[in-house]
Parts: sequence; structure tokens; C-alpha cells
Amino acid sequence: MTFIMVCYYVITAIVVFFLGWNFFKLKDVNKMMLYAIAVFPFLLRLLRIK
Amino acid sequence: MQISKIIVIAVLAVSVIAGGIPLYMQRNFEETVVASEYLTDTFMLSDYFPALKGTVADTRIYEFKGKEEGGSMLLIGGTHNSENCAPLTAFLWIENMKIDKGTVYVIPHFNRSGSLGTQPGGGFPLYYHFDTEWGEKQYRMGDRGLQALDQWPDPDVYAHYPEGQLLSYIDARNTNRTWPGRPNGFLSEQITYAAMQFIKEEKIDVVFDLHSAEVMFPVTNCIVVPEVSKRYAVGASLYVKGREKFECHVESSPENFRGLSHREISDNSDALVFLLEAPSVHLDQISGPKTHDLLMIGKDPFIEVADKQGILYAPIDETGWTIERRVGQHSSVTQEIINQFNKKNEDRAIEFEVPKYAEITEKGIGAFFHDPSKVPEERIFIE
Repeated sequence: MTFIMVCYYVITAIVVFFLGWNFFKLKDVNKMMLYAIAVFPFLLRLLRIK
Repeated sequence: MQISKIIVIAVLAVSVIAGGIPLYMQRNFEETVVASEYLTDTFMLSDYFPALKGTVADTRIYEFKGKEEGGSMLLIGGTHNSENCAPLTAFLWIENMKIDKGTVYVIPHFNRSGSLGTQPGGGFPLYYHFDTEWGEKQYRMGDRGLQALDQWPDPDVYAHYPEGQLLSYIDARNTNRTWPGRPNGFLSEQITYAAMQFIKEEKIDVVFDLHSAEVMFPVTNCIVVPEVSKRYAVGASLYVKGREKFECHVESSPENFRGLSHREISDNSDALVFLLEAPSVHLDQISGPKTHDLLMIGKDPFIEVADKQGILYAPIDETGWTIERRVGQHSSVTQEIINQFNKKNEDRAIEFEVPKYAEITEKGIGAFFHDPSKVPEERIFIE
């Protein structure tokens, strides 16, 4: 894995962290679902599934 | 925690698991290969460029050496793994090769990373399969380029090495745009660099790069060749039309379009190179749902409408562009090109036998794959 690729995985992890952080502060169900959809591709990449 | 939050997290977790498990299983699915008794050796592409060792890009090369000395050829399948007739032709050769003279090398998954997942959003089945006398044979359906999991991020623009020609960013992961490659470039460039080392070190005489293309794309159902390979390709084209009753015309390799195997292998080695394109309906954007039947039977109502409009470059008939026709064409055209090569290079002749178009279309592709439970373990390989 190249250095730049590792950096991109770190960026992905940071995005997942902040999406999760904001998710837990939410009270509106519609926004919760929006966050869940947004985090989906980041999770698949972070877990090295797709 | 709010109950709604718990429900949303649960739905997300179920979606990731339900969606992720099939993708994970496909990436780790093992294809079984039963090599012919004429197999003499196998080795890895990394033997010619050690930096590939242990990476997803390392791939197996099968060697079939005849009893008599002769020339050598390399059959590359799986440059674009979405063009499934190419790796399948390579597997057919590995399982059915009978060789007398010279050496045949076969790489079924040249771009191995590309064979580990389908095009995101493409809607393709994760596997394709066919029946044999002893059960079902299954292979991974792949993608055109390396998986982004293995080469990430893409550049904004891909600059070809060494020419510097600017190409689409997506072609940085396309092993038919990264020839002749470089040792310190993208993983895709390292793959083609390793292959160039192999071609040069083993003094390969003839290289075939198998592909398939949309029936609405002008460069389909053809042999793409640089000038130096043209006389062999023209001879083969005429012979398959006369003897085997199918069309396969000749296209010239453009000199100013860089990175393609038919251009760069020819310019950077002594090998004669031929890129073969078989028509594949499932690759056309206008074809309907990308079902397993579409992959294997190659018939589609939208393509039939296009055919009636006369806008197809490879007309379709009631049979469709079946997997048997595509694999059969690849197998016959390559053999006929070798026949032409042998006529003009007697001292470097390569003599072997593998199934041809008529036999494959008559018996079906499944008739040529062998039961792994009935052969010695040393002939079984996992891809």
C-alpha cells in the first residue's frame, strides 16, 4: 500500500468519525437517515469491501 | 439513546453486512483450474519484477513446453476482466492444451485485481457459471480496471509513461493503457512493466492480448495490429472466414494513441503482438439488465432494435453473441495467426492443439472443463 493510499484511508476514517460524531448529536430522524446513507460508501471503503 | 437512533444504526449495520458479505466472498472466491497434462511449469509474474511479490497484482503464468524446440508465445487473458470471454479462453487453453513444439505461456488473470470485483454501479452478476458433465463450473465476473481498493486514489489526469500523453483519469487503473509500464509507477504500470520484462527475458515471439468490445463500438470483432504484425493477421482473417465461416477483420494500431498493448509491446520489444476483440453485448450501454443470461447467451431486445436500425458494427443473429462464439473465435483466430507465423518462421514454429470455434460452439463450453476430483493434485491450481 502506497503512502498516498494510506493517507486516503486515514482521511476516510476521519470522515467516518465526524459523520458518526454528528450522528449521535442528532435528534431529527430524517437527518439520521441522511447521515447513515452518507457514511455507507465510506464504511465499505474503510472495511476494504468495495 | 433514542430508539430511532438505535433503529437507524441497526438498519445501517444490516445494510453494510448484507451488502458487504457477497462482495467480500466474491473477492475471496477461488476459481479452480485443472491444468492439462502437458503443463510443464508455473511461475509468478513477480519472478520478473520482485516488487509485485505478495501483492494483489501478482499473477500466475502457466507454461506448456513441447518436446521439440521452437518459438514461444504468450496468451494474455483478463486484461479487462469484465470482458469475460478473454480469461475464459485462457482457462480453456490451460485445461485442454496439447503441445508438440515450442512454448506456450498463458496468463488467465493478467489484471488480477480487476478479477476480484465487478464495476461499481454496473449491475453485473458477481459470478458466471456453466454446466459440465460433472457439475457446475463457476468463475468470478470482474471489472475493466484494477479495483480502487488496490490502487487509490485516481489522479485527476493520467499521464502515460514514457510518452506523457494525457489520458482519462480512469485509465490509470487500466492495464491496457499503462504499457510499457515503469517499476516505480502505479500498480497497473508495475504489472505491465513486469510483463515487458517477461516478454524480453523469455524472448517471446508472439503475444496475444484477448479482449471483447461492445457491438456498437467500431473496434469490435477484429484483430488490432501494428504494421509489423499485419500480414499475419490478414492471412488469419481470410483463413477463418474461409475455413471456419466467421468474420474477424483487421484494424491498424494507431501510432499516436499510447499505452495500448498492441502499440507498446511492438514498439518496446521484438515480439509480434495481436489484440483480439470479440463482440460482447453485455458491454453495450443500451443493453438491458446485466443478467447472467446476457453474459452467456449474448442476446438483448434493445440490441436487436439497434441491429434493425443498422447501427451495429457486429450484426447479431438469432443465435446471439454467445460465450461459445466469443471464446471459439478467440481460440481459432489465435491458432490461425500461429499457423501464419509458422509458415513464415519455420525455425521458430510453435505447434499445439486446443479446441476451435466449430467444436466449442457445437459441444458447448462446459464440455471442455475437467473434473478436479479425477486428476492428480499437482494439476489443480487456484486462481
